[in-house]
Parts: sequence; C-alpha cells; structure tokens
Amino acid sequence: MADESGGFAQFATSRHRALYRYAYLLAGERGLAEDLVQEALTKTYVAWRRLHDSANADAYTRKVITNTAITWWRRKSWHSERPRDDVPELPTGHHDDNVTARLWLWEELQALPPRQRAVLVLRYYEDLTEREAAALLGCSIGTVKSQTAHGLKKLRARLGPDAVLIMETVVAK
Amino acid sequence: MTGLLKETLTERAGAVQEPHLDLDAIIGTGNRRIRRRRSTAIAAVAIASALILAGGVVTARHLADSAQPAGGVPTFKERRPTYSTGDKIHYGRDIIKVGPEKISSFVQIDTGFVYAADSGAVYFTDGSGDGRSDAKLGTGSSGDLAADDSGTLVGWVDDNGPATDEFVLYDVGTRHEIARTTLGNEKKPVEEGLIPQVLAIDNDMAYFAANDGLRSWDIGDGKGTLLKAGALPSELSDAANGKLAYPVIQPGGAIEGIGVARTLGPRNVIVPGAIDSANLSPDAAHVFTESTDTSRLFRSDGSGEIKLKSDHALLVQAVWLDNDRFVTLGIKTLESPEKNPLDLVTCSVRTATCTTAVKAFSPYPPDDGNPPPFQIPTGHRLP
Repeated sequence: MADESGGFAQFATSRHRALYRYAYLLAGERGLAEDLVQEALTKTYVAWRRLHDSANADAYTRKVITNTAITWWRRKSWHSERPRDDVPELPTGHHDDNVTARLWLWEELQALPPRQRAVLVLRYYEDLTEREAAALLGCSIGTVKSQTAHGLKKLRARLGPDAVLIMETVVAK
Repeated sequence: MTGLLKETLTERAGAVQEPHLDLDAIIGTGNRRIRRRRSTAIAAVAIASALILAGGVVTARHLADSAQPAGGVPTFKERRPTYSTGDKIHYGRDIIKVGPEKISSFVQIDTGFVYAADSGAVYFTDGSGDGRSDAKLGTGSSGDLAADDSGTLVGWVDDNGPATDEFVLYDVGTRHEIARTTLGNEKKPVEEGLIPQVLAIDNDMAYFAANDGLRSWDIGDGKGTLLKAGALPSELSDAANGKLAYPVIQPGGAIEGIGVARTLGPRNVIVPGAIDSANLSPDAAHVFTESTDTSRLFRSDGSGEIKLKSDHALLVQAVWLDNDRFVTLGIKTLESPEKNPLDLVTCSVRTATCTTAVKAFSPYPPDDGNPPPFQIPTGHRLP
C-alpha cells in the first residue's frame, strides 16, 4: 500500500495543475472544479493498482472528471452556496475588441450544455483529435462531430452578428 | 472563431490559480472506499457492466401478440420490469431491437418506448420496425426525457438547434408536437451551467426547470406559470396525480427532507433527512426516496415508512409499474458488492416485499469512469 500511495502521490502532485485547469474549463467555477478534481483523484487512487502507469491514470482521471461534471450538471443537486461569479482576473490592459470578444465567448461557453462544452474544451484546449475525444467521452466520433458543430453554431447564434463580426476582425488581425 | 475559442480557453485556464492539493484527504477517503468496498447509491449504478443475460430479439409479430389487447392494436400499456442494453430494450421477456442509434436514456409510454441517443436525437419504437430505422421525433442533446405514468406524451428540451433552449412536448399517439416554447429560457440561467429540463408530466400539466426557475405548463390551454422564481431543477423531485414531491430546503441551503403537497413550498416534511431523490407512485400515495447508501419507501400522507423486506442490501432507482409495484436495481451486499451481480427487483407496497424479477442481469462492474451500458426507463441516463 505504501508503494501504491507513493506512486499515486507523485502522479497527483505532478498532474494536479493540468487536471484542475481542465476541470475549471468544464465547470466554469473554481470551487466546483476543485470538487471535481478531488473526487476524480480519489477514484483514481482506488483504481490505482489496475491503472499501472501514469498515462493510463491521466486518461482515467480526465474521463472521471468529464463524466462527473456532466452528471453533476444534470443532477444539479448541490445546494450549498457557491460563488456565482469567480471569473479570474484577466490580464491588465485596455479592453479592446479582443478582450471583449473573449469575455463574451467565455460567458456564452458557460451557457452551453455540458457535453457540448466538454467537446469544445477537449478539441480546442486539450487539442484532442475527434477519435481521442470520442474515446474519452465514451461516444462515437460522429457524436463528437455533431456536438462540436452544434456547440459552435449555438455560440455564433447567441453572440449575434455584431459579436461574430468583432471576433472575425480579431481573428483576422 | 475556433482560433479565438482556443485563445479564450487557454487564457482562462492560465489565469486560474491552482488550489491546494489535499493528498491526505484523497488518500484517506480512497482507503476507506477500498476497505469498505462500498459506494454511494449513485456510484453503485454508475459503473459499467457487460450483460450476461442472453436472449433472442423478438419479431414484431411476437411482441404485438404478447402485448396485444382485445382490440387488436399493439399496446405497451402494461409496465414490465424493463432495462436497455445498447440497442436493445428488454421489456419483460421480450427484447426490442432499436436503431439507428443506441439508447442513452429512455421512457415507456402506452404505445412503445421513446429513447434519446448520445447524438441528441430522440426516437420512438414500438418494436414493429426493422430495428434499424426508428421514427425520429426530434433532438435534445441533454438526453433527459420525461413521460407520465400512462399516456403517450413525452417531453424534452431541444438545445441542439435553436439559439434559445426550447421545451418540447410531443404526443406520440398523434405524432404531433403539442407544445414548443422558450418560456423562461430567454434570460441567463439562475445558476451558471444550469440546463433547462422537462422535469415531469402529470396528466394535463408539465413541469419545466427553466432558466428563470420552476414552471408549470398547462397542456390543455398552452399557458405557463412561474411556480418558483430562481429555483433549481433539483427543487422539484417528481409530480404525480396532482401532487408534487420536493426537497424542503432550509435557509442555509441544507435539505430538511422531502415534502409532498399540491403546491410547491409547504414545509411539511414527509421524509426527513438529506434525500437525494424522491419518486412518487402514480397515485402519489407513496414516495420512494434515495440518499447515500440508503433507500426507503414512505406513505405520502405523512403516516410513516413502509419497511420493505428484501434480500438486497441496497435498492437503487425506482420505476413505478402501477400504484402497488415498482422496479429497482438490487445490490446484494455493500461489503464487497462486486462479488455479486446486479438484480432487477420488483417491490410491492401492499405486501411490503421485494422479489427478484431478473436475476443477475448484470455483473457488478468495475469502476472505470464510464456510464453503464444498461439503462432503466427513468428518462435519465444513469451516470
């Protein structure tokens, strides 16, 4: 057991930052992200013996974070008080179009259904391929494609033509 | 747009400060779980499994014969112990093949089954097709469905196409949408990340968790009413026979217990304690409740608990068959539960006993973080 906990501790310490960032992008809330990582790492510890190496453990932990996040969103069973808005400080500087577009985009990302948000985070933050994202989510590649398309379509619709224009301008710079 | 999306995600991830890693707590909790080999009620069913129950796929003729009333029209009015595995619905002894997609969640109605796929598509099957091209009713990516205890109505939220999430009520009997509304969803949700949901259908009323709170929808006149502004979906557990089951929440946020009343809000606690879920019988006379490692059955009039006699240590989830019986997942032991397969169990209120309906329908599966490959007709995907 001592060897196991030693190997797990090394894994958890080295991967905690990356796992927390991933959970935060899914949850959009620091407290909830912390809970997600804590729960996922606990499950990883329980399963540590059969995971064998840190690569398996990393994939397993991300899978647990993702499925737990989707479940919690569906159940919405947490009643304890949570901060409504814990958006981290943005880099200082003037609020140009780029910053405005990012703020809008972040806000609208929070409003997407959890699975669509998860797919976008996996594809555009984690840089996973459609096949890798499908494996992690436990769904088909076609589902990843359709969820990505729906998520992007909804973002465009919610942001409206002005915001899309700003973003296109920003991207073109 | 995707370039900016990547920039936004990267920036947000980089700006958030990493919290303290409490390894002692994680390892301590993990060790307790390993020692006890027990899980919470939800985790117990959240585990993937492979089915061992073998069976052939029935033909439409066989199914129609077995469920056919005197009038000659195939019916599914009878509720049987039912579960799904991938592309099959095990309806009592009959097996219905579905397609073109697999089942993520499903409900039974009087004419068949409505199921949601991972893609968000919502389909209907009555077993009469070829098992490959069921009728597509619409889309709704959250995968949550709602249906009444009888009838042919089903509800879901279409959040795939429209910019604003739409509640959809569909009558499979007439193959028509009877309502499609964004009511209450025009504003931002009351809590970040909340997704609208059709919570329940009860006779001529539907209940919505909208962005602005809990709403009722009169199916007859097509009008909605805001029942509780700012309320979360979890603040209404179930609706049946004109009554609502809901958590009574203290000002600090803790759950005092479950209340059952005709309106939402009276603080008459029928079931005390931190209850995770409550499921009313069709006549609303009884309520099945679940909390961590515990499930109990109560009379809704406040006259107390009905102690069920069961060979199982834990009963998880409930699907009512009629006013007397409900089907649930049976876990044999909480100590080393993986040593025993899961059973599908039928409980009777009248006799206060539970008996195994489908023995060992699934081995107790490994905890690999995936949702289970089986579902029961609750309308929600087991996590």
